[in-house]
Amino acid sequence: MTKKQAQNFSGKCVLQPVLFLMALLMFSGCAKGEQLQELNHPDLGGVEPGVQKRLMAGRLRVEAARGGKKKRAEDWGNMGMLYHAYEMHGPAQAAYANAIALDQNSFRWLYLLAFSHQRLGDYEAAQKYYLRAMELDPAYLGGWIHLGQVYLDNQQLDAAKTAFSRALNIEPGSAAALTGIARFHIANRNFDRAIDPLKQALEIQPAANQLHYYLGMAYRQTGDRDLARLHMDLRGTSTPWFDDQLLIELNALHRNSRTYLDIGRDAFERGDLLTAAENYRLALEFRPADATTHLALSWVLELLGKTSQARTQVELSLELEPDSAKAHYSKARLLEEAGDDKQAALHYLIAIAGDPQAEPPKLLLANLRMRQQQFAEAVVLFQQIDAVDNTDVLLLFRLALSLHASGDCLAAVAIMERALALQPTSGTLNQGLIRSGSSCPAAGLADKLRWLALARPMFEKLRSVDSAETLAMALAASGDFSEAIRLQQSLLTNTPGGGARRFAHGNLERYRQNEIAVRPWPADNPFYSPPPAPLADKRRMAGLPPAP
Amino acid sequence: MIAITLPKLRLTAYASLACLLFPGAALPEEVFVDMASASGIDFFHFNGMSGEIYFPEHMGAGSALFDYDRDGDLDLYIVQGTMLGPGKQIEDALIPPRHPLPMSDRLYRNDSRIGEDGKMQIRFTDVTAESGELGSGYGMGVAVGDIDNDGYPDLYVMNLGNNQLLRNNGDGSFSDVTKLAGVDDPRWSTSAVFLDYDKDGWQDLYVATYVAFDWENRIPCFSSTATAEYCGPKTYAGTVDKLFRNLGDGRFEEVTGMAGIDGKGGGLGVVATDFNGDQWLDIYVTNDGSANFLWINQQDGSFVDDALLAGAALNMDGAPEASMGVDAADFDDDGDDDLFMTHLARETNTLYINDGTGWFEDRSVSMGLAKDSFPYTGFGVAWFDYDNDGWLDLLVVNGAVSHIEKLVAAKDPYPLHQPNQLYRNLGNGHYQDVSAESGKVFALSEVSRGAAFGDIDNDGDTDVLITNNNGPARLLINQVGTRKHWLGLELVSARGHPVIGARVALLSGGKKHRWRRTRRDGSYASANDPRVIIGLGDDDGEQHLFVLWPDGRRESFTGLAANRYHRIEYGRGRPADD
Repeated sequence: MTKKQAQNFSGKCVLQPVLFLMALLMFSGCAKGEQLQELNHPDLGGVEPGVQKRLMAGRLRVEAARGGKKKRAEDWGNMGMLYHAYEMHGPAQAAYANAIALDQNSFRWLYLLAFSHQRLGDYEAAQKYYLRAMELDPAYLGGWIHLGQVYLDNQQLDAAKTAFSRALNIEPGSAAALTGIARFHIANRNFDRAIDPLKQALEIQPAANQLHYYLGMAYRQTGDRDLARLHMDLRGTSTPWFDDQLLIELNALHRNSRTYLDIGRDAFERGDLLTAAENYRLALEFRPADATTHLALSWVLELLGKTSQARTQVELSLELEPDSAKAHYSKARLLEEAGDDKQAALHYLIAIAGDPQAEPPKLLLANLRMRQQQFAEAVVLFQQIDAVDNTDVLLLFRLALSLHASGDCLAAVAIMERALALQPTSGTLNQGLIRSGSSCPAAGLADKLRWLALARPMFEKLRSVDSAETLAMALAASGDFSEAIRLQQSLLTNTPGGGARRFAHGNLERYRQNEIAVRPWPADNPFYSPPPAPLADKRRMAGLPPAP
Repeated sequence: MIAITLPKLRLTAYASLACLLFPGAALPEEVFVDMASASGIDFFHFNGMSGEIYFPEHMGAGSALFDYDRDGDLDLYIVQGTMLGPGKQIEDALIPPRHPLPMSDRLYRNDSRIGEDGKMQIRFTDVTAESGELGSGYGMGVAVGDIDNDGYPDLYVMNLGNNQLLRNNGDGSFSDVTKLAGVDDPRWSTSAVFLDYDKDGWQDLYVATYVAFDWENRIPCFSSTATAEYCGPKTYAGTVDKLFRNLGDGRFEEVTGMAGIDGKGGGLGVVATDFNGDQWLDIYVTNDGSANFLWINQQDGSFVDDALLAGAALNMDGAPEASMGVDAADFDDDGDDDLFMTHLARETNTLYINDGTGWFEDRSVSMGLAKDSFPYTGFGVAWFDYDNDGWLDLLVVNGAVSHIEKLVAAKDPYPLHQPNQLYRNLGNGHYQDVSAESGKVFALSEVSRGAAFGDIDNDGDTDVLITNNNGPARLLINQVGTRKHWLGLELVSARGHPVIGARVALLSGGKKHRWRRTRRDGSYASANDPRVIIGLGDDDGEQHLFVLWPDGRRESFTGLAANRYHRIEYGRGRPADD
């Protein structure tokens, strides 16, 4: 062996084991890199079904993952994002760590892992992962801004300034980065130096009104009290915005029934019923067994006129909560609209028993009872409604008619008087008072003369069949039957057929017998049978504008 | 100049003597030892939860350290809950109550004695049954004051529902005089302070009220996974606090509007001190989720909220935080009272430094108080000198208000518990979280709410009564304070009644330092020992004291021996300059 050979040999002898060791280390490094953390998936027992489904799908994808490291890293990372979106930081971090172990050059997972640590206040870990991420993609603006924030929170002020400066190098007009620089100065108590970057940031993003607070504090510390107060007054909660696609993606993943319910509710409040219905349906996909959402959807469908679909949703709601007063109320409304008054009444009664304070079911049932000619029951219901005691003239009118029809005409007159006091110019109410009183045998003479005094000018003014009939009733009530007969005969010639004519005939016969009328209007008058609430009324009840 | 050594407090001398006689004796390993159970305190808070995740169930309750029988030691009043929710019966409780029904707040009399071995035997006796009328609502907090200037401390108990004013009859019993006094408030309140804001010699009452929670319109709240979760303060509208003026005849007049108190917030903590140096008491209120109030006393019976410009309304980023407990003290020894308040997890606790004019700067991060508080939701808190080195340290009691992910995963039945924290003032402008090396009590994980601070065993250091939601009361007896020297002060009026709102400082070399105030306020839902302990460190010499009395009178007292309590009586000192 020559010296050279010997040297080569010895070199090889040294080199070969080194290379072998290096290879071994590399291999073990790779093996270590692939060593994945056992992920203790959280118990999803309390989580709503839609969220469960999404998380389970992610979990299954991870467990079934085959293929290259990149693909598996992607699955783990996506799993992490899902957990992260639902604020399950523990499993999110473990999943991200696995993604990183499989793909150490993935900026995405390092960045999100850093963000998760930042959110939990683990600044050291956040810094570590942000720095690793930023080595891979130093041009990602959000990374420097978040890293600067972490440094500020960890009182590493110079490092914070460097990070914000890096962000400014990427985007010189970044309001967020300028704010970071300003905050660095504030943290160093160099308040005067904070003012310029803050003013610049505000010029760039005037909507970022949070900056006014920093400016206010900076001016205060520099002794400019007026400017301080001015900016304090302008302060708000909008922070400087910067483009961070990864966080936008992350936030978009956060979906649950509440998300859609909120969107649906907002849409409902602005009258966009179609959007409301769509989002309530999406909410139900996440939480199918939510009686309240089924009911909300049924209400929207009812307002859209889709009664059969509405009915399905009510039934689903009732399956989940058989005692729900609100659901029974909804079902009653839909049955009433379908013409099944008997069943509707039953469900109104259940609704009232379930929630004795709720007034709408009482009101609708009272109307229904009038239609069924069950006036005594209608009276009891109307009297339980607060609005009757207040200013609802229509309810007072219906209560009066029901009282009269159930035999208490004096009470009816008193209620008509109250209604008229609220709306003195109403022709119907004026006639209602005169007719109720004139068909009330128990009324006193003074009242009878007052009604006659009211009826005459009304007739003189209107010269209508109705006003003539009213005057005839008042004449009869005052004892002037001959005049009542004369007037009644003349109006009969102008009265069309049907119930009204029969009513007029009936009254004429009574006057001829020296008897007064028995009721204010014919039994088939629509006053006695209020129809189910029309769609327009329902929209009004829901606080919606009229349908387009 | 007269400084009287209190006979009842001589036991402190024994404790100090023991240290001096046996310097080689092993010093306690723990900073605090929980002696609740050993001393006879069997209190276990009942929150009435039934699985419905009712917002109020995790918010109570607090306690008071006060000497109700005026025998020279601190007794305990602990606020209790009841079954919660409309129609709920005790059988519905997820965790049954451990006290006999009907539930009520409890009063424990301090019967501690020096044992035959010369050691203090801390002993409490539950005297609830013989104490007349105590709080019986769904309790939240308690404030202590002397409404009739008879020297006996009275109680104002705050509930979810009607509050109660309990007059101390002076015979060991209390009477509910709420209606007579006109201080009822049916809303949800947790903290209050008695203060003589108009300097008429009578203690008025400021009640911080929380939110307009309503059983009729209870709003369900959800987590990010749409599981049922406790609501936050923003779910309900904030409410306007109340100010009651003491008319001096047993009645109070509500002067809220007249006094300009009009801001709506979710008040949880309150302190009253002179923040701007004009010698009139101002009021600082911590609000949960909305800007805090700094009611500056206008000296004419009215207040103006100056928190925003003062820099104490919002955090350093201009955002309102979920402020809970609060304390005001001169932690940096510059002669003015600073502010410290506890917050929700992920918000950090906040320290506001006063520049002497009532303007504040948030220095939480640079003081080392932000990072370690980030994971925790703090409630009760106080600045006190646990090791008597002269610098005011901080103890923060924690407990979450929404379910903690890890605890839920571990199927914890009440997943809100967190450990408490002790921060030591290093005297160099920084604090250090020393919980890990401060003993077993800081390894406990509970849902702590109230914390009342005072010298329970009269040995010259500060002990702490911690009240836990759905948990036991903890009586933390300080084991290390008497390793250093101290000066105990009880400031009293000419009639011998405790004086609240006075400020004291040590005088040395013509300078005043170690400013303290006599107070019962601060923390969360709790009331503190009104006496003052000033840690002297290694200085065992006689001390000279400056006192600024609430009426503006300045006096000095000299020759106060270390390591004992002194009764400092108004008008018995030497007139002093500023």
